[in-house]
Amino acid sequence: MTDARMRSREQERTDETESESTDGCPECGGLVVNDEEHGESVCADCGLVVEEDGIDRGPEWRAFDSKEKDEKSRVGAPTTNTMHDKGLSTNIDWRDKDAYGNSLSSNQRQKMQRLRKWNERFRTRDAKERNLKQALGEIDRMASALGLPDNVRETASVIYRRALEDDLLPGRSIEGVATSCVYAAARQAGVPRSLDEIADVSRVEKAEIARTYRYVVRELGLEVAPADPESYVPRFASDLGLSDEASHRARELLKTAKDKGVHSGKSPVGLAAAAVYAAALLTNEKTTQAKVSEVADISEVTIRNRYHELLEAEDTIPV
Amino acid sequence: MLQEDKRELSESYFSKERLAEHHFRSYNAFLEHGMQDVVTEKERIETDIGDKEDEEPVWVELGDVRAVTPRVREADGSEELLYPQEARLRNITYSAPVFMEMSIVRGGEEEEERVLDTTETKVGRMPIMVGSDKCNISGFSDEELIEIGEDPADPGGYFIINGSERVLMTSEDLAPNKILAEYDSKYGDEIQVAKTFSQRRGYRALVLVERNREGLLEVSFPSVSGSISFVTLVRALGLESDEEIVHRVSEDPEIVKFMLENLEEADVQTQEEAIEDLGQRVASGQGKNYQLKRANYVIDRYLLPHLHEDGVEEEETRINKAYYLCRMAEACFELALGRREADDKDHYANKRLKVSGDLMKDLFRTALNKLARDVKYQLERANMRNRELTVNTVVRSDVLTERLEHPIATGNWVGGRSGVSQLVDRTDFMGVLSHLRRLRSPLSRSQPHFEARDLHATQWGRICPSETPEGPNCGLVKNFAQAMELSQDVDDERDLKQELSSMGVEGIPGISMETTSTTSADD
Repeated sequence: MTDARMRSREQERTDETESESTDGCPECGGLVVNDEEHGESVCADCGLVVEEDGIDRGPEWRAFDSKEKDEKSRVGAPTTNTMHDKGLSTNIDWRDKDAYGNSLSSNQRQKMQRLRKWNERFRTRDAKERNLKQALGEIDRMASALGLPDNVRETASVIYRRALEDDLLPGRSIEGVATSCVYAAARQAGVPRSLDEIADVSRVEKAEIARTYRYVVRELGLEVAPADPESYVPRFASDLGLSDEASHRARELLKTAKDKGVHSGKSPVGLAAAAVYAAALLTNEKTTQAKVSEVADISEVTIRNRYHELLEAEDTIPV
Repeated sequence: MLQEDKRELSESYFSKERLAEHHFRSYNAFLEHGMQDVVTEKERIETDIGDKEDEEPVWVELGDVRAVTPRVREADGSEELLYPQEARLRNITYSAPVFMEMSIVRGGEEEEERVLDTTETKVGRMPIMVGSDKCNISGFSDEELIEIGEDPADPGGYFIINGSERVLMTSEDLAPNKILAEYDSKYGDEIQVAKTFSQRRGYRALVLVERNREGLLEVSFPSVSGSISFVTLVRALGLESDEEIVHRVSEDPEIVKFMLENLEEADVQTQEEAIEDLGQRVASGQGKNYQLKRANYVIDRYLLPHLHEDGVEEEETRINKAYYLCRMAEACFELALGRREADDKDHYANKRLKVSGDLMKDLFRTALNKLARDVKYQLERANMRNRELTVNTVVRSDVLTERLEHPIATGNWVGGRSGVSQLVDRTDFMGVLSHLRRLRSPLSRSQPHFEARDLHATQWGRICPSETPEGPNCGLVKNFAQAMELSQDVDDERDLKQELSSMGVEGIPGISMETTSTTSADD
């Protein structure tokens, strides 16, 4: 684990220097590195200071636990697209208490009641805003049921906002569009969920989701690469209780298949299921086609066909 | 006993499991039946569907609930077993998915009831105490623990939330459902008060019986502003005649004299009059029917809730409430006549400890209510848009998870208490042990409370006499004595009552006996 972290950190560092050195040192064309301690960009070869007095945009304080962080931080939560008002609007508490915790007088109470009402009306002032509120709630609900991480929810919300902006909603249901946004966002983030899984938690039928999804992708010009069969492997493997070795083997099978071009035109879910099944057999772990078929929601026939293709592709590779 | 034997005995007694034993026992009891109890109490989630015409009502029945062992859900959707050390290193929460059986039911008014969907669904994630029954490392040998990066000497007994170890502080509360008599002063005069913190299913109501300077008894309880006359209240509860009231309180001639004064002052004679009187107090200016309804509701809901019990008639409960109030009155009079001392609030018999399991139960109850509200909202919305109602599409598991994790992460518990969870003190090994065995008094540290801070004789063998902080928390934060044993409440009160009844105790509500006779039901 520490190894992996070190590696990623190193990679980050090289990424950084590379992006800095696109122009290179103006004197010798050498590598320019960032010296954070002195706030300078320095050429690693000739030592020329390319840039000085760099700005650190981070906070000027340090916090050692969450309580200290709360005390020192002067900003609120960042804006988010997963809320219809981006989390920026004012909330009037339902308790009739002032900042000191004292109860308000009846005059004040009435005033707050009125303010509360108008605040609520103003927050959701037009149809679009109300529509957003509903849809974002749906997106959050489905994402939570599918266990999707926050960045996917954010992406899904952005896609939905664009769809709403471009007037794609008339003629389609809010739920349908919201579902296809979740589906698209999950695929874009490389954590795809199959249509069946999505349909399970959605309030609309599978056919409608597929139709709306195609429409949204076309109209918004979303670039969604075909799902990588490898991204399904860890999930199937963990559902079937297979070892890391088996899932590693499954990835290998899929890699060779991709190199051979066997995968084109085949359903990625089917390929992944077959690879997991094949890998389990190759590593002598117990599983059946029926079990894999249940976990992946793919027919046994498909698994068998893909299985043969995968193994054939493997065999023709010279070891 | 030989020195050697003693050593062996104490070594095996202070094995590592003992040191955080109270946390494990309490939390395991919560996982085993506490969680199910809360769900069973809730029973069902009602919705507003069906309020309109031509619409059948819809509700959700809640069934069995169970938690599995901690798992982590990765972004790619795979789910794997999680060990504490991984949770600490990756800054994630050591929690287990909770599943609950739910069925959506429609009908009941014109159509027949029909189940639309029944599924066992994931409702959220429950933080799991390290070392508890549901913990992945329970039952591991030392070698296995080292293998997964765990310290075999670690006592456990804490939670891991977002990678930080949090321990739930045991809190010391006044014993509920017990009559405490004490002196108080009102307008410069000394008066006598009998108090009971009546508690049932997380609802806590303070009932006060006061003997004011005229010698009249007044009762106050939640939802009734001010206080009402004792005699009116017991008459409303069905204890009507003068004679019965007096004898229920006491046979003592002097107390009887006091009671007669009270009866002379009474403005109502019958149960109906008393309820009307109460109605005017709780819903003044409303219609008469509403007043009566409200009065009955207040009696059954807010007055001494701990006397309610499943399978006991409302009528019987009411008369039991009247008897209980009479006992409180008796305590007041005895105090006034100097027949007894005021109860000592610092006596350990009058205290109860809230350990992690009890705290988690409080948390789970509010979290479940929040989830229920969300399910109701989702159901109503799905129904309004004429969608098929399925369990999977109305449960948002984030709701419960968030409500369970946030209080443990911040220490801001339900009911406005703060500092309930604390970061485990890892200064050294002894620090951890001491922290796990620490307990806190809910009293404010900014006030003197000299008596509460003093070492009380009943703390002998239970509380360490020397380990307490210096400064404002002195005597309010305490630590368990080494060989302290914490007894738990009875799991099944019915069994206990049956046993008591077989030993000859009469008049226990809800326990039928051959020997029951109304006249000898004195308690």
